[in-house]
Amino acid sequence: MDIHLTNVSKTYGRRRALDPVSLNAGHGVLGLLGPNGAGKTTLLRIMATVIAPTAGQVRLLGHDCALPAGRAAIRRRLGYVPQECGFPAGFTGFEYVDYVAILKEWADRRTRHDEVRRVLAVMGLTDVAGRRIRRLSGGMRRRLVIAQALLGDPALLVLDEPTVGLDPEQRLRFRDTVSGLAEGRSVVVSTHQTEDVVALCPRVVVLHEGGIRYDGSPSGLAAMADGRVWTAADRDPGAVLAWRSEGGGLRQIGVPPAGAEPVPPSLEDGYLLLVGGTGERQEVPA
Amino acid sequence: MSTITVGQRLPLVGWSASAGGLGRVEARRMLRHPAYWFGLAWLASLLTNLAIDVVRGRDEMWNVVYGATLLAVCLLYAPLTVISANRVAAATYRRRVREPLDAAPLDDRQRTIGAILGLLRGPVLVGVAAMVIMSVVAPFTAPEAGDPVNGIYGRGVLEHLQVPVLVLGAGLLGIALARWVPVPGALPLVVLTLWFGTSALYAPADANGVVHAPTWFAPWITWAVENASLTVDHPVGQEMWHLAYLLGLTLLAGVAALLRTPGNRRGLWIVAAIAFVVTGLAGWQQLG
Repeated sequence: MDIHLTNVSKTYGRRRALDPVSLNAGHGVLGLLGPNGAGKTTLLRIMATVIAPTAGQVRLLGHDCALPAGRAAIRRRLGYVPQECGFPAGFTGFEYVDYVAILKEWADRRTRHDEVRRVLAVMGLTDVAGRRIRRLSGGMRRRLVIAQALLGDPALLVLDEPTVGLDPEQRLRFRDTVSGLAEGRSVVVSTHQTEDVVALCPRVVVLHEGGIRYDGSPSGLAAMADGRVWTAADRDPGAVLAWRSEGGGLRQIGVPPAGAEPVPPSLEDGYLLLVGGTGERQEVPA
Repeated sequence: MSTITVGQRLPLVGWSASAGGLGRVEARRMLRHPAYWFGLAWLASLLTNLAIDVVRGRDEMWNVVYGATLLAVCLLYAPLTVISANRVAAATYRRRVREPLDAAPLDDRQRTIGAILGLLRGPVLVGVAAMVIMSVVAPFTAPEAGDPVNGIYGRGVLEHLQVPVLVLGAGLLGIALARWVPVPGALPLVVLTLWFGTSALYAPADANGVVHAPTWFAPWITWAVENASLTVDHPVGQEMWHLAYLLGLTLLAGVAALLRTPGNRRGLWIVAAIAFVVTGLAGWQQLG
């Protein structure tokens, strides 16, 4: 197992961000879903060795995160895309990725530059590599952050909402990239985009209020809403959540009224039902 | 984006090999900092005025070269190095910028050491170049007529060595500030205090030995000689103590920068304690 978390929790002052969580994962893409404030970013920052847990044991790639030598060994084989990322002033895209490559112990200049060029090409940034970062679009900056994470063919990739700011075409290409990367390594992706989870992840974990609420396949998560999704012209009293669907009617999840015709549930339905309507959908008032 | 191709596995080279590359990058960033452009403009103006003095026979050429180098490095380059080193060290220290960097094998302490190496490979080399220029030019300079102290005061290697040490200390102060006081306003405040304080040391005295300069800006040990400025005429033979004093302050700034980083601090505290004692002793001794 590349990822081995045992009763890992995190508190900030008096606020508990993460309840004791245990999680094991091997090669492949693991999707992390959850509403804002669920503890996803905290969990991913722990997995990226950026913060230490308040309690519990974290073993990644066979090393103990609590030990400095273990952390260094993990970081040598880790790629991390944080949720929010700033850039040092005055850097070009190439200089930024090159700087991170130096911090990742690429000492030889020629091989380092070759590697930087490779990851920039993977993310489609070759043409703008020499441009100052402040002149890049939001999507290009996001791809730049992803590019630095790909340096050195990492064995563990921790991606916190990597597709935020990418246009639909870039998102599709990103999925293709991550699918290719999943061969022989562990990838953990946190996202609000259930389509990304469906496309990428054979396994999904739902975090809610600091704890794991679901751990299984996307189809299993969707199946949790079996018989509990229906459409109607108006909101029904038994609906936990309702939103305007493509056909113009209201798609609703919850306890369907008598006579309602259930529709096949999606992953999003299962997820929204699980988190009790605190997800990202705009609720329609009753 | 193209189709993914598998890259090279990370060649494990360790910290020492990476330090060189990091130092090189940080040196380049410091030397390219826009603050120095302001310095170059000021230097051009100064050199123009001094050249006019030489052409009109009001001053000796070698005196001008020596004095201009001294002023440019001590009064301008060193304070500007506080800014460049601070900005370079602070740029990768902001929380959002640090996030992906903190997941790299080189931790914050190693990155701080990288910034210090950059300082040594960049701005300090400019200070060394100035030292070489001053050492070469010094034998050709003529003492000012009517100033007996200046006439017997031969500036040796220890005296000139203070120039790069000053630049090093300024840069380390900038890095320490980036680590300890990363708030807007702290850097300009410190640089202005340094600049006005140092300017005060070079302000000439009037016939009564009174220096008309904001000397209260100089929060460090100074000495005054009647009918002269505050520092031009050091007590002869005390340059070793002054150098030790500057080195002590420099070491303290470097240790302060590293103390802010995670890792073992015991050794740093011991070095800081020794440096503190040596600095105090040297500061006392240099007064003669």
